[in-house]
Amino acid sequence: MAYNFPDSPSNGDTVTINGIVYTYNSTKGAWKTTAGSGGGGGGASVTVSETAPTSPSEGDLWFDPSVLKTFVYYDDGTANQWVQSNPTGSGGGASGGASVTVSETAPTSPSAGDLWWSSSEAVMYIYYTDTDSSQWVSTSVPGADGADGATGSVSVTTADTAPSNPSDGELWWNTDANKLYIYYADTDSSQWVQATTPGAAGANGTDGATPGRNKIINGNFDVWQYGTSFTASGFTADRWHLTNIGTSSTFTQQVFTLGQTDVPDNPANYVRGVVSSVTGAGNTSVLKQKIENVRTFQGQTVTLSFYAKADAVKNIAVDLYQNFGTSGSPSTSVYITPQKFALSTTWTKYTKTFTIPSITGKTLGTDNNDFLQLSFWLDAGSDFNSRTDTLGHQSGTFEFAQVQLESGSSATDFEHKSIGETIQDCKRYYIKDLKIGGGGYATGSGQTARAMTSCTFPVEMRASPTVNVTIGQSGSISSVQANSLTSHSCQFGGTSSASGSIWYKASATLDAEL
Amino acid sequence: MNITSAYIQQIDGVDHCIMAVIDGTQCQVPLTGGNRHYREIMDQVEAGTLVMGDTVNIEESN
Repeated sequence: MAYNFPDSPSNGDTVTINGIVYTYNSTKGAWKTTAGSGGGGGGASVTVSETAPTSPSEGDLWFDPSVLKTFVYYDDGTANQWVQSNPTGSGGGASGGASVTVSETAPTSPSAGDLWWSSSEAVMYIYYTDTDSSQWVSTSVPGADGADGATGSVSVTTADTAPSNPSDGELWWNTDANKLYIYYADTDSSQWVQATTPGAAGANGTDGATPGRNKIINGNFDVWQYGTSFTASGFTADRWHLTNIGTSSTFTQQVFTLGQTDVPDNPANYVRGVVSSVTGAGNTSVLKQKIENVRTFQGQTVTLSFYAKADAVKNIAVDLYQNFGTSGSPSTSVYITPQKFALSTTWTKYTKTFTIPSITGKTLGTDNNDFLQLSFWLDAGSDFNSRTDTLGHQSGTFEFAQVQLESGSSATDFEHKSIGETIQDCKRYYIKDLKIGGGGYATGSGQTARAMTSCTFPVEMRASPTVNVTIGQSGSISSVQANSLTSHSCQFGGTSSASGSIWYKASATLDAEL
Repeated sequence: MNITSAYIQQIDGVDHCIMAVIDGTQCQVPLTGGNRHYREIMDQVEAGTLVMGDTVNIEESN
């Protein structure tokens, strides 16, 4: 039975043949099946085999690789048979083969049986001549929702246990592990294989999300209780100690330009060190931070990351060392191999890993003041060659921001803390301008511990602090001292300078730095 | 660290703290090895670069 397509169709005209809806596309000049139409018996199958498929359905395709021919299973009204879909000419050889064209537009002057692969649609057409016309007709036969179509389907199971009797390629979403597995058959076995294998970056991402991963306090240089400009050795930004020996340098708080993007996440501050080197074996300029507790990162690989730039391309050196404290019989310090960084003149993120030795077998001192120290060496005489990888002397301007030291072998994004959190962290080591005051009565001059006031510190300090009291206003008080001083509280009391009512208002600075 | 004028202050005959001028500021330093100023004072005294002044005793009960 030959199917008959309408002659001279208009765009959008449809015709249903054997349950399949064909729609005429005037642009293409071809009849095309409508996706999803038809349904019923499922899609035509395509078989590649040197023998004909058994139990075929009409429209099924079979490609015989032994003769390089494609056949279609065809019902002519009286019988079903495999018919070559692109018969060659009877004479064989070079004559008469149907042409196959790949193009966006239909070939001109086609012959019946010619094939055209419409590259713009990914659709195969055949030039078909019926009783009264010739036309391009789509060769694709839509299946019923595609479920039984030639393309088949992949089973996906959602369960907390693996599906039984799986097929190759089957997928299983493990609801307990939240992981996707694929059933994979290799050369000698079949097994469930995790479809998405977590990589190193993923694992580090998890670490990166860990709050408190950055053991550097005030790595963003946001807290400056000591002041904002420094030339002598001592603390600069909170927790950051400058050591100048011989060489002179000035370290200052700097403020980022609003909206800058060179250093991400809109940091407010950074530190600038202007170094004027003075030659001398023992001369140096170094910015360092002591991390409380030598157990920190012991036996681990750590990653240091920071943003920095210099006034010209210059090296700096970084080293770490473990200090086991004082008093008793502490182990000697352990110095970790230094590494150099070549700074450029633009803000750049620098990253290196260090291996922190195990402290197994070491002995701590009894003063509870052991630490791990990070040092940025900007200028170093030859006495420091072993700790600076022979950095040597240099002058220049060096700027640093977002310093982070964390466990693991890769750097995560800088861990931002609120200013409040950072100040609290810093106050474990230094508290400036703690307001105190009291009043009382004295029967004479020189009486101590008068006008007593109990004071609990805003945070537990690392150790009993050094106390400096500055009296603002007072009545018959000559000085104020801390009594019963611990790491978390004290009692402030005044020394009278006369008899009668006494009082004072003062501010205290508490220093428990390492 | 520049330390001058350091002496031990006692209260009622018991050592209470070290009073010292550190980098130009009058400070009260607790007698604990965990305090960096106390360690520095002890180091300088041991090294002979700092001499402690006479102990001052305060009678708190007066």
